[in-house]
Amino acid sequence: MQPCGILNRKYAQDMAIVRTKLQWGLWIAFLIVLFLLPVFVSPSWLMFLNQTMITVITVMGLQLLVGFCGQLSLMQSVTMAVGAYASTIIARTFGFPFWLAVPCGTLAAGVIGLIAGAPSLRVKGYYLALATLAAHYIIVFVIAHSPMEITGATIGLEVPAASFGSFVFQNDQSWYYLILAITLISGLFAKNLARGKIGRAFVAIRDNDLTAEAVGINIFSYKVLAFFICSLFAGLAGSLQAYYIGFIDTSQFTLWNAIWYLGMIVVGGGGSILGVIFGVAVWRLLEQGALLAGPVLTPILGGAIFPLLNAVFGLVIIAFLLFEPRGLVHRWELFKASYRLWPYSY
Amino acid sequence: MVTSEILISGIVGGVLTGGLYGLLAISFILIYKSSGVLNFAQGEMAMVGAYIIFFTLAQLHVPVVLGLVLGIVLAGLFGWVLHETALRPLIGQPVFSMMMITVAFSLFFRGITPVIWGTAILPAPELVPLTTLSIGTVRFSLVGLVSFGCACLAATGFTIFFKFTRRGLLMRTVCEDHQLAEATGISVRRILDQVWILSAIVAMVGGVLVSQTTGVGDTAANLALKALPVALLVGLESIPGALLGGVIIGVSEILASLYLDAFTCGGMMETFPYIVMLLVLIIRPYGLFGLKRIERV
Repeated sequence: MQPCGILNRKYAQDMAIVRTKLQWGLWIAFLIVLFLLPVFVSPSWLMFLNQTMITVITVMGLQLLVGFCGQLSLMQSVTMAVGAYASTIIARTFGFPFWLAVPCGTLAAGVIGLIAGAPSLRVKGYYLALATLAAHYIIVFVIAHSPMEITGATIGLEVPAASFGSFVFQNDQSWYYLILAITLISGLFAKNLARGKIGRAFVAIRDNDLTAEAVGINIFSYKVLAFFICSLFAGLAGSLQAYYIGFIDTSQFTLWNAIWYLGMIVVGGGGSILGVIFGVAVWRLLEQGALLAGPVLTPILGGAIFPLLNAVFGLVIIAFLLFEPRGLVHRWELFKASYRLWPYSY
Repeated sequence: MVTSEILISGIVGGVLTGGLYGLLAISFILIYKSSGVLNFAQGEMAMVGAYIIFFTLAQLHVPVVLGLVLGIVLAGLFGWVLHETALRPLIGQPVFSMMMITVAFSLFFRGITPVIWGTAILPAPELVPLTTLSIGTVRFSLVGLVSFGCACLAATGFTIFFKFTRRGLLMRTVCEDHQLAEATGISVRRILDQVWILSAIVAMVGGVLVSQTTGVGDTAANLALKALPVALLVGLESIPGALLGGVIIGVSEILASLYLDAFTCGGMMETFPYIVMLLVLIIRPYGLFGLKRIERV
């Protein structure tokens, strides 16, 4: 909804993401804050921010698949694993540099996504979720039982240091700027994809696939495209995470993570790129809170901190599904509408 | 080299484990058939059932029969609460919401049980003696035999119940179409409540039998994830088929681990059911005995 008195006189105005002077001001202030953040926050929080942004990238991909196209997927974390392993193996065996290995890993994950999207030709709904569940177990099995010198089997692989020319990304600050730039670019990409022709086709398929087909949308190719794009995001996030942490093994990419990513979409709200950021932020803050509360709670609970966190996540998802199925982004829209109309009620 | 003795006792073990899978698959199928919800928290219902029995027998120290009856009542109550609080308000929501709420419940129960009972695996109260029987050279456990018996009992019992009783007929009507059932004067809500209660009790029996050999912990929940391929293989529809599917998966995973583990350095036992599941989904999504639905995908 537009503020009162703001009218679109040109098509360019209608299409703009940032519309008013106030929005421009807020955006620029926000970006300045983001760029200055590493100066003020402690190293542990910088690490938190980096991992949060990596999660934002992968959940944005999942949002395009689940929130926009309506296809269920439980394999997002294993697709990240494919990206991470592919870029690491390429870098280790063929000596590809960082800036070439990451796109290769991304593309490898995308190809796996294309293959995993193939069952959507025949099944939908729960059955598709089960197909991706099977794919999760099978890919983890393949990684863990491949020869030791290729995938490191169950032990894992060391990832070479990320460098760009002679510049080596070694501290959290340089990583912060790199991941921030990638997150902003992929966010813009996702946003524009979602509101363009492809995104609208996705929404049409989600809302009613028969109608979508009747208006000339090739359902199968768009579904597979959604899987492909989703997996590209996952592969990018996985490759970045591999290089950022410097070590990969299968225990970083569990089924829990895949479920958590879906939970973030529920909390943030389906069908919105902004919702992804809300969802991931809430989730990661809860996680960080549990980490900070860990030393206090350990004497009471014993080793049950991680299970307790799972219980809390479960309750959060249940509460959102029952009381605010449209997620936090819907609350945010309501808030924006109310302050634009203030002091009138409508 | 796989000798014939290892092969035969492997197959017998697979059949008996398959009974357990079948039992858990029946509890999946009961709910999916009647309400169209694939309950991802079914394994956690089994796990909670095992904890409930642990609570009544080992913590309250009530006599065994009373403890089991109390356990069944509590498990039924548990299924009822789950349906009324979570699934019922979501009627008419997309599949994603339905799936996420059951997944959220599985997260919640997996999280809350270690908080209440501790993270260690607890010794299960012994209901079936842990003896090993042998016929000739084939050895198998009494627990396995009892669980296979329970599965056969459940399969025949539910088949008779659905075919020959009035309540079973009402449930089949609800399976067919909720709105039509409502129009003929059946209370869909009450029937679904009853289905959830039954399913929770079946899951509890499965969970308790699993806990007899492995102790009370999240193993029951993990085992139920392997009952998903079973339910899918038979098409999420047929109850006697679930037992057959369980046996097929139980035997085939043993065979896979006997013959293929040498090439893959182990782990085939855990993964083979999912390979079967993926193949079923691609080749014959409605399963062996399921109704072939005519729909556009």
